[in-house]
Amino acid sequence: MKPFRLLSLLILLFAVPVFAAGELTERLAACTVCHGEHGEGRAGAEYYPHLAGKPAGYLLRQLRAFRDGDRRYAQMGWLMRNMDDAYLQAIAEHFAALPPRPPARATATRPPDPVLAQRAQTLLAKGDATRAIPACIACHGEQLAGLEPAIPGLLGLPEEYVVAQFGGWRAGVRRTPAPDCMAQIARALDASEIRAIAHWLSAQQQAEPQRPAPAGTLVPPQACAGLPDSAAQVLP
Amino acid sequence: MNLRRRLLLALITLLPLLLFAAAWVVLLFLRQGGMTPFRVPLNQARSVPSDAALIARGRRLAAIGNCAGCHTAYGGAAYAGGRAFITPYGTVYSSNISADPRYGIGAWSAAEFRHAMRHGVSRNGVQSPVFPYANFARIDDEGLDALYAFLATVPAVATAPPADALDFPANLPGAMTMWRLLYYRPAPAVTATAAATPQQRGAILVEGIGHCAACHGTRGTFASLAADAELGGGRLAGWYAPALNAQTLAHYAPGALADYLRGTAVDGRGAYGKMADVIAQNLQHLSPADAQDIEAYLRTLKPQSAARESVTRELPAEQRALGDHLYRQHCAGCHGEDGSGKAGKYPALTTSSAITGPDPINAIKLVLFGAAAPATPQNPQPYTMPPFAHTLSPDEVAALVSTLRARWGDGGRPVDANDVGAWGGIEP
Repeated sequence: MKPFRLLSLLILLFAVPVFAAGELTERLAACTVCHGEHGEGRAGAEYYPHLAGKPAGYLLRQLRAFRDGDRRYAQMGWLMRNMDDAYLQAIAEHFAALPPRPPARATATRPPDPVLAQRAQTLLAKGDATRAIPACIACHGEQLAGLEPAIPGLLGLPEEYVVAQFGGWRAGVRRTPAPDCMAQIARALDASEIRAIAHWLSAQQQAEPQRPAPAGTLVPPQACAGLPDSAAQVLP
Repeated sequence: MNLRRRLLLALITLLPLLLFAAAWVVLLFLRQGGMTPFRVPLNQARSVPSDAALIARGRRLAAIGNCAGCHTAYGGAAYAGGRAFITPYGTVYSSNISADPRYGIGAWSAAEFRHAMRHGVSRNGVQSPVFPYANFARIDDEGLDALYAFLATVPAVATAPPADALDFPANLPGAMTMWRLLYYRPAPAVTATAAATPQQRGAILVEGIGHCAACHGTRGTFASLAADAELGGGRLAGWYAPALNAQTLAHYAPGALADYLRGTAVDGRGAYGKMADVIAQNLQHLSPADAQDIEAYLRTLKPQSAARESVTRELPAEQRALGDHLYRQHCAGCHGEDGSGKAGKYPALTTSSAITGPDPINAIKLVLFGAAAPATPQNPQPYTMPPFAHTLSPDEVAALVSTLRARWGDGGRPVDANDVGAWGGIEP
């Protein structure tokens, strides 16, 4: 009797969150049609980013930005426009809690240009001090898996999506209050470097998808808007 | 000599005509309110009532009137104006009605505010008829003073909205005054007495502060106000606002329309399009009593004789087959094979005005861009409809929409890919 009870208790424990997640999935048909049933991205899609396992704080900030006009994408703005913070928070937590998966890959990726790939890797690992461009890994982590609670991982994002985000930062249609770090970086990079980084990121095969590093495991070198105070220290 | 005689003759013949024209203009001038609207009370001292009950009443009226909805730009500060209204006569930007003394109405006296609401004329000149002062003229003095007291509590925003960009002939000097002469006939203010019925109270809200006809009615030539077709349905800003009457609202159970206005998804039917904005920003704050009064009044209205397109073209068989196929593939999972929806989750299409109404534009937009009802305390986590713009071609959207409208509505003219292209945009 006892093991049976324990078992049912265990089943109940696991079933409750699964049921809750399933219930929200049913409400979010508008999200999953592009971002995948489990937020894994859409097979063959060249644009839509995956959502599963991204930091909830990051997702919430993006959802609010779409709603409030700080990140302009007509389709997202349209769906977010009448949602309140409470629902956006629930949506962000829903996708953040889903296990990260290897994203569905676009069918054909062209072979990387070795010179550009090298350039991209240099920028990712070291940045360019002469132009005040920090290394990507300084904030997004050694594995580029992101940092809780608000810095996203980068691997597996579609190339065109990444290029479009840099375009958005440069044009001011994806923005945060100052200091808008990504806008500064995007304006310092030239177009071929942006393309190289985007291509390199989209072409990486991940054996094991990773969750963002726990909060506080690294201290970003720059104070940026939208990041918690602990991450906003300036290193000596 | 000959010439002078001919001139004199011409003058004698034309004089009655000229006199008649002058008399006509004078008559029109008197009918739009005479000189009164142009005498803006500019020199009165500003004194803002601080009575909490009055401010609360103003807040309630501002909610019903959706003031913030029109006077806030996408991504902009509340009540700071700057929202673009794209009309057939050019683009009009809403004004800053925050409490800023320079750019807003923070220096206005109560008398000037009352005057502007009632006559559409302020220190900034004769307002365009985009501002629904014909409706606001019906609000009684106490209501206007309440709005004034409430708006004085709105944080000041020191920004000027863009200048209007009007086209000919609306850009001519005096065009707005000319419009008044032709079409504006002031209606008296109405006060709800203690003995008023729910229907009467509802009428005051709908025709006054609510100005529902701004979207749910159709304007005539040169944006004239069509009194007899007030709530006969209309297309504005790329959406069709359905006719409001006993017949079009019959599929709402008693009390359900009031619930819908306050942000409930009734049988899975949440608001979409512009109505979703109006509910999210304002109507969700309606008191249950006000919402019930509005419902009571709207249910008394009789349907107008339908002025529908008489050309009903048969939907070609292959388009119908394509539409049926697409429906089974993409829609039936939620809306059901028979279009009856799923109670509490997904709305029935058989009674949806997007399908059964005279204008197909809403159905096209919903298929392309999906929808999310406003999140409200009554519906905190709305169900959402996915967009299909990236899945279906314009031809497929047209076939689907035409098929559903033929199946559950009376069809009307089938739509084609050009309609989808022309009507399918969304503004942020």
